[in-house]
Amino acid sequence: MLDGRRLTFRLAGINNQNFVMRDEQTGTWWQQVSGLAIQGPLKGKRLTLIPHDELMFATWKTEEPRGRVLKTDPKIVKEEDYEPADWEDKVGKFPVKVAKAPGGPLEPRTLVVGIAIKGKSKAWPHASVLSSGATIDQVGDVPIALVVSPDGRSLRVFDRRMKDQTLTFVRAGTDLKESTLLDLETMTEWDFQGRAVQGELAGSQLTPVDYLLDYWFDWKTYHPDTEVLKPWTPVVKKKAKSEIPAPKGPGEKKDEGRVTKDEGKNKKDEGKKDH
Amino acid sequence: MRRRTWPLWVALILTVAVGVGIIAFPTLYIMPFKPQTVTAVAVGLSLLWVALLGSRLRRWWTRALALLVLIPVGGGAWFARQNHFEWMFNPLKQPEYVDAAKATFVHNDDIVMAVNIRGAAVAYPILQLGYHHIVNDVVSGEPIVATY
Repeated sequence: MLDGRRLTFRLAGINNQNFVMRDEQTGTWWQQVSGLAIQGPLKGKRLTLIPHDELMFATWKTEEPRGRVLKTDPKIVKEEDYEPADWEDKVGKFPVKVAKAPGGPLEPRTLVVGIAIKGKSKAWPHASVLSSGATIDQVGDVPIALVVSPDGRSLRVFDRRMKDQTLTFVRAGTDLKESTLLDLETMTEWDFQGRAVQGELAGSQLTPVDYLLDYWFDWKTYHPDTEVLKPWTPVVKKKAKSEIPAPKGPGEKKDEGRVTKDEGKNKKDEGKKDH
Repeated sequence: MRRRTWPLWVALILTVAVGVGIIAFPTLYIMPFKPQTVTAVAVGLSLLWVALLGSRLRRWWTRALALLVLIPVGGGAWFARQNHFEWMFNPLKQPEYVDAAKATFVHNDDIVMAVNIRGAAVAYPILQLGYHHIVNDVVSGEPIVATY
């Protein structure tokens, strides 16, 4: 929906490995990842991003038992044209052919969690985020927490500010499935939906923050000024003390030394995902 | 904002006018009971010579060559109206949905893109979105497009 006009979109091309869609009503071409009209009568306009989650189906079903699910098209099923279960792994190995190499500390096809707030943007390697359970950081001056679901794959990001204080979240417990999300300030227990379930802040709800799962090369294209974190490994309790790696683990603030600020000119907003 | 289309119209009208003119001038000028000048007759006959170009191709290979030249022209006009991206990825013309409990085609560990607009929740399984790329939908009266 744009300026009161309802648009219907169709697949219409590709631009630096992110697809371009075209609306039937005005014939304008739109860049999928940014939602920006790049050519046509509505050039320069931008679609509004709807808050959304990328969740494991089982987790979604538990949260939304009355929700509806997009049905498969029998024709495509018959032709076995739907993507196979290991599709993401395969796409992860596709070559990257873009006009400008992304640079930075990551390989172009590293999957990153990207967040853009008020003109500031930051990206974290997805694998590192998942391995950490809870990552606390900030984008510009907004303190945030990247919280992994007990399912080990679903991710949500929240604003850490709650009534006058900024909370520091940790995942307590060695096993993610049985861990609890706590804040160190009040020791309140929180769930994956950002609700305080037990403790001083019980009943409170954290404000979700939109994020984009994207490849590093694509995120960098649309957020040239982005900061980016190098991959890290969480502290894992091991018998031999000397083997513990230097990088800091879950719930600890990332030191600035591992944040790479990249040079660039303009800034853009977020969209959805590329392939 | 509307795109200016008048230059295209001018080009089209000019092309048609030239095509009609090539035939119309000799036909209307070289007529009984009409005076003709030597120069104008020469011009008229030259125009006819151009118009009859096709019929002068007598050898089979010159005709074949002319046809080969025309094929890309016709083919191009046709292809410009096709969407070959949708040949690769068939669009969902009428997306259908099932209740969460009945979605047996989605595995528990599959990833879905999920929205919840004013209490109405919809999940778009990534493996389906990864094929169609685009699903136009309306959730709680809100027209949205799920893209991947």
